[in-house]
This record gives sequence, structure tokens and C-alpha cells, in this order.
Amino acid sequence: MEDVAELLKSVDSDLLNPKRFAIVSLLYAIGPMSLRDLRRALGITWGDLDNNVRRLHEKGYLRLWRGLGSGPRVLEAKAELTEAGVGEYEKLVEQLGRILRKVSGTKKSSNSVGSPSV
Amino acid sequence: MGEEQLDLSRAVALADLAQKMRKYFLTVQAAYAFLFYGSFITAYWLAIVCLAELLKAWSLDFFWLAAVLTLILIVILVGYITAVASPRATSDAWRKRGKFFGPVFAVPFIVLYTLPWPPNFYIVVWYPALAVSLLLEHLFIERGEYRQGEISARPFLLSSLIILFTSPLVLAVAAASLMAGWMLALSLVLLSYSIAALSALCNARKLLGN
Repeated sequence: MEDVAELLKSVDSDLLNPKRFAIVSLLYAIGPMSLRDLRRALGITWGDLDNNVRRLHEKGYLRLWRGLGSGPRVLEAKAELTEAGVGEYEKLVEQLGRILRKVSGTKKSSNSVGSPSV
Repeated sequence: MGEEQLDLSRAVALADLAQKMRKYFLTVQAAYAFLFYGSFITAYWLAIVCLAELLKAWSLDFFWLAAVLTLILIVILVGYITAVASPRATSDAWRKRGKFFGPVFAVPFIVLYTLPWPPNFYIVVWYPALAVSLLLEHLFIERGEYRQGEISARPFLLSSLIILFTSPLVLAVAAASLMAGWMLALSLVLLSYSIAALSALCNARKLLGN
């Protein structure tokens, strides 16, 4: 458990929020997206998206700008991960993988059930 | 009220899928770029040959040298435009070294065209020069991308090897016939780019379990 706590300390806890994690994962996989497409893909409200995108932008993980849109508006808000955002996401994913392997190892020896949360 | 918690195994599964998708898009992007540049360069040289015929410039070294230099400038400009037009996820290697793509690409052309070739060969010297350019781009950018697992194919390497391997044939045909050598070179460039692109698309498909 101490090892898991140490691994968790080295990652940004802001990215451990499920919605922010999903936003960052989608941008990491696809590349720049409009906020309209992000909201539709994640099935969240505009308020939710706005709060989480703003938080990620403040941390320097997202770049926001207005670009040509494919929807009803000529210009629409777009987001992409910054280099810092990509780096932090990759670091987080590596740490989560290590934590899962440690926890899975512990579960096998103690025969406990359920998926761990962070 | 506390924040929602991240389900660890789901997060790791999502991240794994995100990494595969990112690699898939980067590999497919490389494949389509090859198809685009192959078609574009073929179209350019067909227009240049048309111009050579109209101006009777076949034996003018200056004409062919100007055509090669113009192509290099156009490729750099087109490279910039396509990067702006398709802002998908960019690999680390391209972000750091992409601005050197143009100069690295140009050097073999400049070196080979300053060598004293027999007259007929100037019309096809761009072919082995292209092989060396593609190989240099592989060593400078693509190899790093591939080793870091950012892409799952090496179209620059594959096409450079095909072109390098067929260069003696092109030079031999050019020695016998100017036009035949040039047409063969153009045809083999398109073929090598198509093979490299197809190979990249097949490798990309494997990433998603197909």
C-alpha cells in the first residue's frame, strides 16, 4: 500500500478525475477536437465540460482556440493537448499500469474481489 | 461532496485503447502522406516534361536543375500547408525535428546534381537522390518515431530501399533511352510509394486487432 501511495504522489491528482481523464484520453488518441465534438463523444453537459476543460487549461495541459468549424457555426472553440499535457498523461498512464499490477498481485494473494479505484 | 473516483482497471484499458488509436492515426497519416506526395511529385514532373517539350529544353542542364530546385521549394511549402490543414496528433519526433525535413530532403539532390554525370543521366539522377533523401528522413525522424512506438510502420525506409534497389535499372534504361529511363523512374516512384503506403495501412490495421 505504501508503494501505491508513492506512485500516486508522483501523478497530477487533477487527471485522476474520471471526466478529465476521459477528456485527456480522447484528445491524446484523436488529436485536436472541437468542444462540441468532445461533449457529444463523452455524453456530458456543457457545464461539466466547461469546468473540466477550464481546469485542464489552467494547468497548462490544454490549448484552446477558435478555429473553422464543421458545424452550424463558422468558428468554434477547439482544444488540443499541449506537450506538457501529453507528457503528464503518458506519465499517469504508466503509473496507473504499475499500480494495477501491484494491486492485482496483492488481490491474487489475498483473494479479495472488486475493481480498485483511485 | 467528494470528487468521483477513477476506476483503475477501466482507466488503464481506456489509456491502452487511446495509445493504440494514437499510433493508428499517426501510421495512417504517414501512409496517406506517401500517397499524396507520390501523386503530387508525379504530376509535377509530368508538367515539367510537357514544358520541356514545348520549349525544346531537353538538353538544357539549367532547365532541369531549375526544375529540381523548384520542386524542393514546392515540397517544403506543400509540407507546411498539409501540416496546417490536417492537425491530427503529431509525433514527438516530428514536433522536434520536422522543421529540418526540407533541408535534409534537399541535400542529396544538391550533392548528386553537382556530380559530372553523362548527359542522359541528368533526367533521372533525381531517382537515386530521392532514395537517399528518403533514407535520410528515415534515419533522422522516422527511426526515432518507430523505436519509441509512436508509429507501427516505416514507409520512408521501405520506399527508399525499393528505389535504391531499382536505381541501377533506371540508370541503365536512361543510358539507352532518355524518355524510357525517365518514364520508368516516375513509374517506380509511384509504385514504391504505393507499396510503402499499403504496408503502413496494413500495419495500422493490426493495431486495432484486425
